[in-house]
Amino acid sequence: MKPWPKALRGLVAGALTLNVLDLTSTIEPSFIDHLRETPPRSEAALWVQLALAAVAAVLLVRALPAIARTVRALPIPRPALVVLGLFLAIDAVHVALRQEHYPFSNVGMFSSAVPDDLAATPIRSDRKILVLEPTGVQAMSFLLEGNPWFARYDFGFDYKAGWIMHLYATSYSRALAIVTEVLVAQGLPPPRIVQVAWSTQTGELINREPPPAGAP
Amino acid sequence: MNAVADTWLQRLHLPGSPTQLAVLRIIIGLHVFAVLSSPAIPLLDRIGATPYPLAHSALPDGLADFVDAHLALPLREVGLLASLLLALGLFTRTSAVVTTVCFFVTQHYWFRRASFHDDWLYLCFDLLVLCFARCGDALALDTRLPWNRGRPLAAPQSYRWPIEAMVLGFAFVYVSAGLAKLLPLRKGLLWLDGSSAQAFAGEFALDAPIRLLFGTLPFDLAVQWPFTLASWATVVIELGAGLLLWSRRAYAPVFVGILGLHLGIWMFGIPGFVQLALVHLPIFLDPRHFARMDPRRA
Repeated sequence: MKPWPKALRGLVAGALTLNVLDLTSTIEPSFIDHLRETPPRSEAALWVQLALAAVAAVLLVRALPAIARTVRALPIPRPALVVLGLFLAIDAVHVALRQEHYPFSNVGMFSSAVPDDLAATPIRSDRKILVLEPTGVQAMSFLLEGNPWFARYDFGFDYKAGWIMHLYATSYSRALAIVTEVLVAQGLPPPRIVQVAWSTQTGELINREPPPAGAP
Repeated sequence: MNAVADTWLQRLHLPGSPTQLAVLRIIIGLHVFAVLSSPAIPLLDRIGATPYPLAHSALPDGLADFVDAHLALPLREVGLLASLLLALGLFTRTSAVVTTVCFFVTQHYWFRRASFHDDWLYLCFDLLVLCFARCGDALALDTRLPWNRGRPLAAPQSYRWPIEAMVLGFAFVYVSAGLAKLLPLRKGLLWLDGSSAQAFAGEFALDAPIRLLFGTLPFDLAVQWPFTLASWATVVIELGAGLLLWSRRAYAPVFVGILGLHLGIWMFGIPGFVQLALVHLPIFLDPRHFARMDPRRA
């Protein structure tokens, strides 16, 4: 029998691998699904996928000697091969299971599906730090403060410090104290944490509501 | 370009350049120095941030807490010195190992408290590669030390596998990112309609540099089709990183695509990853470009 063309073999291997990953990625719950649940798989689809996974397993077992020969022939020093290979293998398991345990990662940032009504809403709201400047009220963006080209205030943050304050400035009192200290030193009044709304059409603040009870 | 020996497995057997590997060592060393000297890590300590509930460690809980409480911040100081020595190529093997240990420990502290989605994490594999590589045979102070003078160079392939290992690691990260968006496929179909990218853009609208550049958002974020296009492009670019293992012809388009992807995400509010991509630029250059600067063989 004539062997299959290389491209076709590659396509089949890719499809079988994707099928296996589709199965493994639902074994464990993942934070990726916290915003929107993945639609359930039908029972018929599950049986078809399991049958294809069995085919993949048989093909993999048959290919193992060739894979082992290839790995042994790699011109990489054995200690490096073992350590780096183990690191990537454990990482691959994390990708397959959609899990993250430092230092192994499934690189799952921005992978969550979100509800349609959240995506298309013309108004978003969140707790933000507002600063009263002589020119008016400004919503503090720590992500912009982490960039020397766009920073308004002199925090001395890099983009990572900006990210930390983006995460924690409204939830950790010591973070707010740091912000207050810097702004007051620049002759500005202490900032306030306020529930604000902004337009996703223009990116501008559209209202400011009083802070919820108990907020600093 | 040699079309015959062009796949990743074939490229491993080609000669490499000690200078190319040294350039990579210098860039990674300086980048790690910048990471460890970032104000972000002491800032976490200053505000008393506790581990983020979803940020898991491969270490058992008790050990993870011990590492964070007693080792992370002191080893950050050691790592600063070691990464500088790594960049200078002084006591290169030792400084590579010490930098790697310090980086792993410091990043453990950072990762658990910085809501865990982070580009710094992906330097770990590169540092592991440098621990085993002959990366101090060129552009290194080690070569000036009296006891190292006349030390012969290794076989040319010894300078190639670390570069190709980093190409593999780079492709692995981006293909994984593409798969994370698609898997399971029933979720991937929802993600590809663009609503996720749209929701993130809306969430970060106040933080978007593009709003400052244009004076307003360049288009109404409630319109979905630009995000549908961007989502498909993202997955194509990320999965396309797998082509890096197939042929060197993919290097330029994949690298430009990835850089464009990160710049686009940054313009809509989320910084990061641009630096990670730029740090890897030397691995995509042909070793023959460095040959003129390579030390002469005895």
